[in-house]
Amino acid sequence: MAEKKVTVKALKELRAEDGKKVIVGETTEVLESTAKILVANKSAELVTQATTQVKE
Amino acid sequence: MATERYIGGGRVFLSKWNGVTYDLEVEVGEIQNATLKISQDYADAMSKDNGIQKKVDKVAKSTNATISFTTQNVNKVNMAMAMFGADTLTETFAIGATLPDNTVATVSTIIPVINGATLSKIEAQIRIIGVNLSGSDNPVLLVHHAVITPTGDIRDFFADKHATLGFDGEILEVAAGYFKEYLIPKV
Repeated sequence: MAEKKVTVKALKELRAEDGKKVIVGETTEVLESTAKILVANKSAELVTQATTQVKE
Repeated sequence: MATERYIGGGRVFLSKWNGVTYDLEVEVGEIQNATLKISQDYADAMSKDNGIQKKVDKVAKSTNATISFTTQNVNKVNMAMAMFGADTLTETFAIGATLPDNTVATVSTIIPVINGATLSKIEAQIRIIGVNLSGSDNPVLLVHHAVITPTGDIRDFFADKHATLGFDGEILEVAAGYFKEYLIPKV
């Protein structure tokens, strides 16, 4: 099952998939389902709907 | 030329007692010093036969042996021992959860954790393998069983030099004995 990735802008400090810190205002790429959670709890806002990456 | 002096370092290994048996031996790592101390308590017998008290006998009442070691290896195993906690625990944080450092997880994240003061006592077998730079033998101390307690500050969170962890071990006598030192010839 492939899942798309989108870019979000951090509203709170995030811990990226590779473990690196994403400071407020920076962007990072996350899975679409993750972005929904982050947007819902006001940790990030959606920057682009770009859907390139897939995950098995 | 063989000498009988000692100067050197070495390694310290620990097998924790889990209440039933000893766990696999692990190295404490980066030991800064390790010492053995032994003390004896005596009871004196005094005679007043001639008026003035004079000591006529001295008998040993008790023997107490302790080891101390300090490491700069501040890993989870050593820190758990210092904090009287288990070294095997982790916590899982779901996506969107706030991690302990106030960042928000973007993937499910497993983080090692030590729950402090959950154990009342740390007991272990200890092996110190000395490396003698001078003499002809390398000493190996085997402490069959010791109760270990941390000494000094467990962690200085604002250390400006490498932090160390210090431990004292009060040696107990068990079926295997009290402690022994082997003198391994250097080759």
